[in-house]
Amino acid sequence: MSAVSDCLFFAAVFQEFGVPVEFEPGWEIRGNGQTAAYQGLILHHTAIPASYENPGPGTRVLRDGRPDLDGPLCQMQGKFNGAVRFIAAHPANHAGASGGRSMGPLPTTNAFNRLVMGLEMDYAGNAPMSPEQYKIAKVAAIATKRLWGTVERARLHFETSIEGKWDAGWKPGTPIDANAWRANALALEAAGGDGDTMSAAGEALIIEQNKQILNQLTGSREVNQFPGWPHQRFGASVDTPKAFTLVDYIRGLDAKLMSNFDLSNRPGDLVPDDAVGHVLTLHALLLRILDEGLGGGPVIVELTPEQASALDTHVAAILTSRLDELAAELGTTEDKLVRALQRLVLTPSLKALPGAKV
Amino acid sequence: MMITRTLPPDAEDATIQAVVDHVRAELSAMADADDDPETNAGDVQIRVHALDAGARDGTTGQVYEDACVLVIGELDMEPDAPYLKPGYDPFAGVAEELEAIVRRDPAAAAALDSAAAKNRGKHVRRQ
Repeated sequence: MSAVSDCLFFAAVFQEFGVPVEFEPGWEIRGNGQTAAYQGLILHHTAIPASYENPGPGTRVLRDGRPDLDGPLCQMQGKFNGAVRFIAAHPANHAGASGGRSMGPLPTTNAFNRLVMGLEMDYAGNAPMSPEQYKIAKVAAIATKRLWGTVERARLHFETSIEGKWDAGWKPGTPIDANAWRANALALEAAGGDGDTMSAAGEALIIEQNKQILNQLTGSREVNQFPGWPHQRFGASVDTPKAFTLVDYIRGLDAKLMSNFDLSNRPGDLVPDDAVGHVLTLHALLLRILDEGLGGGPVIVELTPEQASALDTHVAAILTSRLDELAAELGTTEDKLVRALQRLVLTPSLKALPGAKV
Repeated sequence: MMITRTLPPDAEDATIQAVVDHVRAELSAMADADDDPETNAGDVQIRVHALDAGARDGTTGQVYEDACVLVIGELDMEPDAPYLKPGYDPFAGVAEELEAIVRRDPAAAAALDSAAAKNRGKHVRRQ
């Protein structure tokens, strides 16, 4: 088969699995001067930040190259929004020197580029590719298997490179799991695309919902597009950013919780440095008060199981409803904390207990 | 033509040499119509630099964020391949059902038609 045939074979498989394909003008006669004898696929990342709003920022570089590396730089561009763009049918400068840690059935040779097609996923590489791009990667591995006999001919650049490359990555310096990628591809093919086959409208809806969720969680570049939940805000002021997403909210909540406690005097055996840890600390201090009293002997003489349960309920309710007041009362020492707990929490709770002797 | 490859700063000499060999062979093959990695190998200029993080290479102007060993290969020739020459038919031997994928894409089909008109007498498209 010719290079153009190989590319269009991939295009047919992409379309079979619902992946849109595009063609960069001139793709059919573009190449680095070598003639293709493709027998495998290399998966890369462009290291260019991309997004749903800007899904293919690398097109020009992949087509024309960089000042230090002549183009084309791949056969296919995997765009952030899930489309594949064919950049060049003929060999491109992407694979570098072969002979890396896990070549599979691919050969070690000085002329690797003419033997392997390059799929450049357009994303930064120091964070995961989009789910749509991962689907592209899986379908490309399926096409590899169908065209050249085994999915093992689909490799990460990380696997074949001797140059220390780590693409395609999902966090700084770390490639995706190559074996999982190939296994997931086989699973997708075995399922006949189930789970990935839906109407174009349905798929567009899912993608749009994913974008909404992502933006709601992390914010949006467009002011006020995702304002979050302003009515949940405490202490809002004119300086408060208008955009207030779930991440902002959790961060603010955590800061507020942390500010309520004196970390220097916590019991040493209760170390979790988070909200749960602080609740445990409070609980331990309450138990200590119940067991040892406040210097004048035990406070509680006896509690029935029902009374103990009721006490827990009251304590929890007061801790929740009077957190602000409690925090205002807390000082920097454990004694102050104990006194505040007794006055604000323990005493009202005990008074609410029917039949308890105080 | 230029090919640049980067390696980790602690790359072993044997690895650097393998990359040099790769760059020389690739450039030679790119400039040879038959992809011979040896034909033009003697004309390939190779330079190897150790760069600090953030350094700019004087030849290309490219800035390299991480410290690296930079292998630069240059060959003062043009790429040579059948598909780069007048008269090449990119769809020769391509199955009709595969070619139809391109023809069904209005933008891609228009680009092919435009290229065919622009290169009439150069690139011949099978009808």
